[in-house]
Amino acid sequence: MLKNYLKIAFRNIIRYKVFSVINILGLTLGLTCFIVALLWDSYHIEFDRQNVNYSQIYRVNRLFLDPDGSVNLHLNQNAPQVGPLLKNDFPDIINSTRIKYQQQIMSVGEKHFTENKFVYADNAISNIFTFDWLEGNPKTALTSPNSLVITEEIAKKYFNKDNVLGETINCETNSVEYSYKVTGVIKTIPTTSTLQFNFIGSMSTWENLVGLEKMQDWSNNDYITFILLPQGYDYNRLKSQLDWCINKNIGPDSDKWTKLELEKFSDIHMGNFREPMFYITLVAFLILLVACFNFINISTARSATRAKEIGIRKVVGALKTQIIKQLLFESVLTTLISYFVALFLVAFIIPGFNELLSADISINQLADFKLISILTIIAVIIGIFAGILPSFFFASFKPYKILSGALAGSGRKASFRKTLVVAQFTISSIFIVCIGIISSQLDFMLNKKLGFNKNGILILPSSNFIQNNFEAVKQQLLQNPNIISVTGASRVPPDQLNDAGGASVFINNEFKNIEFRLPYIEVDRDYIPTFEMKIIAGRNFLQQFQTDLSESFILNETAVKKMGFKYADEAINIPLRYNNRSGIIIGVVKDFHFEAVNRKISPIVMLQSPSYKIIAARINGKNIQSTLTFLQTKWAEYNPNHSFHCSFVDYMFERQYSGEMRIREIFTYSSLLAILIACLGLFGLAAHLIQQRTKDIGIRKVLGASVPAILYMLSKDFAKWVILANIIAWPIAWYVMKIWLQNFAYRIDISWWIFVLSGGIALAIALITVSFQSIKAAIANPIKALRYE
Amino acid sequence: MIKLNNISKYYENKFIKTFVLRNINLEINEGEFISVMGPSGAGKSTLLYIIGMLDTASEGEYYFYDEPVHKMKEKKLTELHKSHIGFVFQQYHLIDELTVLENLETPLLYQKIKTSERKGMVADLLDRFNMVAKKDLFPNQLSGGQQQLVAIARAIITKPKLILADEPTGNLHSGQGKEIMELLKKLNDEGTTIIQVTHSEENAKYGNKIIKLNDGWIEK
Repeated sequence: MLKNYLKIAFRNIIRYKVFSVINILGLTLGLTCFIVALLWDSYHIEFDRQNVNYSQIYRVNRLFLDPDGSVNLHLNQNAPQVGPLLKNDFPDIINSTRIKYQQQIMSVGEKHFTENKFVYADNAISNIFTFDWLEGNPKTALTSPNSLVITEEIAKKYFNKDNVLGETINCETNSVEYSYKVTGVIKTIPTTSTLQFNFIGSMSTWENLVGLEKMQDWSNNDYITFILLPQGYDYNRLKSQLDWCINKNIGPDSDKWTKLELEKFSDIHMGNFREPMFYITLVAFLILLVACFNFINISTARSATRAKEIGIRKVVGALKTQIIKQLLFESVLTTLISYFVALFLVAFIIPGFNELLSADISINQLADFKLISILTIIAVIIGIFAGILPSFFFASFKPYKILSGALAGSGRKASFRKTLVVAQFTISSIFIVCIGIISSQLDFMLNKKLGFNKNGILILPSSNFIQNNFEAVKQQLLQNPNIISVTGASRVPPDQLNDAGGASVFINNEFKNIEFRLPYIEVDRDYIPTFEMKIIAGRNFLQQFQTDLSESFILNETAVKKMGFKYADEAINIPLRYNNRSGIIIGVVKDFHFEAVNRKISPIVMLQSPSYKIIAARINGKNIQSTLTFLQTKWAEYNPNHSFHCSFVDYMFERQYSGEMRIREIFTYSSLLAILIACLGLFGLAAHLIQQRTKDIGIRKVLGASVPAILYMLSKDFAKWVILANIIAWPIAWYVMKIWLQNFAYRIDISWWIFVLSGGIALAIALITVSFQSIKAAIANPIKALRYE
Repeated sequence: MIKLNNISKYYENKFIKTFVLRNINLEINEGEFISVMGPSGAGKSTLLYIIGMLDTASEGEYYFYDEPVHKMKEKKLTELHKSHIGFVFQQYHLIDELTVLENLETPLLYQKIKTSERKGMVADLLDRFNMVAKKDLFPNQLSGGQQQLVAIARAIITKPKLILADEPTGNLHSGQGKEIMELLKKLNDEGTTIIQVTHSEENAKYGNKIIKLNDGWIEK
């Protein structure tokens, strides 16, 4: 029996090539998306699981609160003493480690390397996280100062040999030169790990470098802090005591402005990806649904061709259930063919997908028996899902009706097919509207006035030499005619405003504490001119005033307003105390977007500092390459051992929207696919419907109907369906996008024309698809059609 | 063998009943060869399909070998009709995607007959109908008469007691038609009960009894 089914299925596939290709191609595209999405999901679900203690590790985050208790700043790093303090205060904590990222210049012999993936960590790191140790003792490798654990990859790069235990690596940090002894080699950290580094230096080395005082600084939140709790431990018990710990160690009532927070290690990666995973899976599922609708539609549309065979089978003794079984078998077979084609396609799509999503999935994941079994089962279920409606539809046919030639398209199934086409175009239209709105919001953000000129500003690394000879360096750089201005700063946009201090301002004859978070940036007097920010009251820092170096502040508009000044001018010459400085407000700068455009502008205070970590230069648009070469040679002169790297501010701003750009791209590709599949279906359906009307068209033409009139008649119904689909899609898309736009502090209004335009695009695509068939039918010689009949 | 008591068939459409068959009383004994005649729309085919259990009557009782068909569920009906009844149609109704051999095989598949036995039955029949050379051809590669031969072969492969033929020669030219009628006659001589619907007086003569239908009534 199975052989008979197989035979008839394959002969049908071959005989009705166009329909088979449409069916298989549609399902293949749908399944390809779905498989890729599931690969991506499984990649993220498996993330970080190489750690044996995966579910027992917690990260200690730090929160800063506004006086009203709302969270003002959320850091996933912490002060250096928090790890040891927690371990000391809570015996339940098995272990804790701090991880501090630090760029280092490493050298072996004459070879110098600038290394970004370098961390300092406590010895317990190897106790909490699972590494593959090739050499050295994990229990003690990082206990003593100047110990270093490196990855296999680095061992090869630096020494090009296997046994490197005890080798020496020289290092320079903050112009102090010292050397490390290699005490361990671990396997290179897999890409499916949140923690990424190539070196672990012992934390005691770092303590010696910066001094113990700095390691007790509560404002120095540079240390990622992890703790390990016992298996099955209810971390809420610990959570409830964290405020007590803060008050005990910082001072009474400190929990009013700062708090510690425990975050599950397992949530760190998943927390970022739970939402994207949901959306991508949903989008892939919708595309697959569109493909299934295609299948259902085309299968039922072909009922007239298929009905005869079914009728005969019933006459020669087939039961209804046997007919259903046969048709389900066929649809599962078609799905499985599509599934295998899709598996091949997946291999081709993965690189592009990885690039698009900065993901790292691989076809090798399919080698996992569990995953491939799940996928295959899903494919079979989809085959059953796509086939179930057509098979019941066919099986319910009364054979005598079919065989006596009474089978005509009944109204019910025509409206059923219409519903499916409308559903397909609804999904496609939702995608199109979403692209429109996402693009508008992106354009809006990219073109938003930032309050300064982001174009042509180059960010360069500073060094000890440059910090100590800043003015001289500045003058040397300015000698190049293409360098317009040079400035130094602690931070440049786009960045986070993570440094803040306490402030009080002199209002009504007394110093009043400022009740909002006022972050600071250290800037050189050329910062405002270099960034082309606008002073709206008072003046910039001036070289001739020595006091400007330590006793002058410039605020932004928001800060001034929050302090209660109605006009910026009122703030000028008002005394201000900030951290340990006291001075006066000398100027107010027009608000500018320091952080990403999707965040509200925060109050800012600018002050000068003796040295700056970052150099920013405004350069001329001409001869950019030669300017860069000039800077590179200069930097090599200043810091012979450093490698040179720089970045443009406008590029950095653009990169901030990479998430949104990705979403837009995903939606673009998804909607293209959904529309392509829907059009495949429409094409098949149009071919079928128009074929059925050949005689009708012939008669009309004989009676004198013009080609456009026929075209209008044939296209009218399809147009109606697509318009109906749009009307359904619009409110859904509007609602989804309204939620999405909540992510942005500054957002566009959703304008009506996006909907109309999307509708127009969908309609145009649908009509073009139909036109392939309708034009052919309309210009055909009517005699042929009638004679054929 | 077959007993119809007051069988009526009608379609209800917005409270209007359209009758196709009215109060049909009929008894058919094993071995008979019956010709049903009448103008188009008289209900001939409907009567045939009701007897063949492919359609159900709206009213009345139908006994097949004294079993009440009018009370049976679909599964039982299919069981009964696939083991006792063979159909032959005017338009042959072969499955286009299957070869002659596969077409013949299909009813046996639904009877769950073992492969070896099935092969034997098909081979015997091909032999008997002189179609061994044509066994791998598809229906559209055969003439109308040949297709109808295959259709008859398919109808008798399960050795049914009853063959229902709906204008079996309607699409054939006279020579082929005669051949088919001879074949049916031969099957009848071998003991198979046959009911045929026909327009042709000449073909009706092959039978031993004629039932005339007009507007749903049996003409006395």
